[in-house]
Amino acid sequence: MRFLSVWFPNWSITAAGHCLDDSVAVVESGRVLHCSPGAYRDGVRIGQRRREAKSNSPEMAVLAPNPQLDATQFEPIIAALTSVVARLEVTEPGLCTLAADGPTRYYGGESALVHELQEVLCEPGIPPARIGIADSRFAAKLAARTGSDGHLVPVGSTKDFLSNFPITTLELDELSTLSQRLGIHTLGQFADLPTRSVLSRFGSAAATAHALARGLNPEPLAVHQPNDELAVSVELDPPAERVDIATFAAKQLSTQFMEMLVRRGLACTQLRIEAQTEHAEETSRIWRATTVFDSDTVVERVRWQLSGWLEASGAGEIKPTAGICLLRLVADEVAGSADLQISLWGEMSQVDRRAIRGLDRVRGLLGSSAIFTALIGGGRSPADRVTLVPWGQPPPTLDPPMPWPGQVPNPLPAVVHNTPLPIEVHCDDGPVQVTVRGEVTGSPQRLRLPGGRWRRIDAWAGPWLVDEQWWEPESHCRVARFQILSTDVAVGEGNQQTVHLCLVQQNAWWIEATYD
Amino acid sequence: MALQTARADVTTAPSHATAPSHAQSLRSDATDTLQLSPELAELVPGGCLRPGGSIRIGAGVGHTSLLFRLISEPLARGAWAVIMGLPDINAHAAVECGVAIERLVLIPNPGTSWLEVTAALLDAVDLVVVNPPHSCRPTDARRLLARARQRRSVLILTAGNSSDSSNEAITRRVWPEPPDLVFTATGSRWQGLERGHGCLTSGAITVTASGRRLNGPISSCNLNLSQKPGSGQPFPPVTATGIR
Repeated sequence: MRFLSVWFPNWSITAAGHCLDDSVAVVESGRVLHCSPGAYRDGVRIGQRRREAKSNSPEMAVLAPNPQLDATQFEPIIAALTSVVARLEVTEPGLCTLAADGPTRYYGGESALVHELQEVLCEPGIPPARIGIADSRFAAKLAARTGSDGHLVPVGSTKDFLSNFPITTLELDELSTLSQRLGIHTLGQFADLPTRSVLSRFGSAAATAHALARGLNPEPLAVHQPNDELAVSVELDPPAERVDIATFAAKQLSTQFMEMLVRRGLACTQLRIEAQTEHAEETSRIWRATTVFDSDTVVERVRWQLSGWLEASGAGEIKPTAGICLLRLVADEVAGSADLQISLWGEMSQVDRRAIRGLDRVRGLLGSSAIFTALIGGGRSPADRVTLVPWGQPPPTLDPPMPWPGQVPNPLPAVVHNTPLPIEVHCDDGPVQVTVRGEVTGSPQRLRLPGGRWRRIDAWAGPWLVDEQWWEPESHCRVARFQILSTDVAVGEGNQQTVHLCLVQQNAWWIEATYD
Repeated sequence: MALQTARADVTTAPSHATAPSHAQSLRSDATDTLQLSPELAELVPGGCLRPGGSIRIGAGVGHTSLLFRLISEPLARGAWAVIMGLPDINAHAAVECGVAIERLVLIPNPGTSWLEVTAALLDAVDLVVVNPPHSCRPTDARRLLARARQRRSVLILTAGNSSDSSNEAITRRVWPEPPDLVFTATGSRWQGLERGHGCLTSGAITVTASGRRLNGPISSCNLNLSQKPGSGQPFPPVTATGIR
């Protein structure tokens, strides 16, 4: 497979109608995001503070990022390119890629194809483009960036071509810092490492990067084209005349789209967005994700494409004559989503990440011995089965949950008193006791907390004897458990009956837990 | 210069209007995740908790089980919950009620800084269950409610386990602001226990809802505590084989 990239340097600057020789910078949140070669010559750098950049280049024009304008301006270029090649994948405004094999055969050679493309890009109003061809998407992109007027990496020498690029080209900060400390500075050095070691030491993100560095299209993604069409569509009634209305509909549609993919355990790496107007005018475009699409990026792509289409301003452009009545999202290329856990956080959602960050903060406020998650293990008494693990600490090994003879059966008490409450339980002849043989001395009639009101006992069951750890004199404990249903007579009959799980140890009664 | 930067930000703003602000995008599906279990859903409009609202669980036998039922469905849908100030709850019973324990965090004893902690929790998670350890000034209560509204999380107040808090006046002093909804367990029925034999096999509570935001005429429902919410299947019958 050969890939061809068309790249427009500093697209957001040229899209805004500025010449690259002028001193122009795109500034977001007080920092330089992009700068023109003109500004670069004056000493402006990406990431520089706005004030510093301005002092380096006083006459520098400052732009705010405007993704919508970028997308709108890119539309005529895509139209021009699709007149030469049929299938074009747009990564972002200013960069698109295509599988070059078919067009190469058609035009009779790669240089002929490049010539063909350069021809259509020579139109006035189109900023200078760079074209690169290589064996992988990543290499093609880099080839486009290096060659001033197109760079053809010969078949099979992509790895050599990549070997001299610095490792920072991969744009994985963690990996670059670490590798540089290990003495690995170029992609070539990185590519020479054994794949297995890279995967075990740096994880799957680095394994993907390793494939890129070797001039391969990342294989671990197990990318494939879906067998049956994975598509969702929505009909807009009334038709959407404006981009924002259509985008609003796209929001719901993209959620639906993501749900469909998640149900099948897939993630979308390439997406086709189709829209149709009432007058049967159509737009269809393929978008490629940097990693995978999520709901928000899909909406963004829809917005880009539709604003480019509805607000077409170029000369040869055909502007649709009616509102959009059909919107369709098609998964053009999917990957098993389990393979795509690129970040350290794996499959965690945004909500999870926010909760974890926030709870870390609360741990800072309270100290680590105040905030817990619960783990359920095995144990005989209800209190034994729950283990509280301080937030952020690895879980301990627990007793296995099954089987525990002598366990109190379900339903479980909702409240387990940390310190059991002492009670008195009486039958007609005074306090009830449990004999050594496990029998009660009388039928319990009433109970009370010390100093509390007497409660009538309506029903009871037990005693259930537990002889725990009889082999250890220290921790040996012999207890009897009861379930007791009681009513507070003073409050009235009502339905306010309570069931307690009670414990008798050496003829003292305690409430261990309450069914609440 | 600062003014200039601010102006630049203002000009930047419209292009970012496409992407919803951070807090909003996190909660875009909040009403979806705050759905209640089928029995409780009948009591409130839409069958879900309102993001940014407040709820009180009144005292009464069964209120802990009621709390578990209330949070079980949102947790199953991916929300996070924190239960603060209830040191005695049994997490295992919560699991049996269908609570996804991996997204439930417990703060048994928040100490004196509970207001501050509650505010931080409202930033972090969708459901914050608080048993106020001592009374709260009206200004503080309003500030917490405003925070909940802003972050679109739900504040759930409980009366704790003390039996004397059934007194409305005491509850009012502890939390001075009227909540959107009050769920109270008004009746409980327990089955399986006899005089001297049997064992508890099932329980049910009656839940009554009151407050500003109710779903028309239905104001109470029955919760079967020995049934996982929505399963419709009772627990397998309990035999005494587990008992020695």
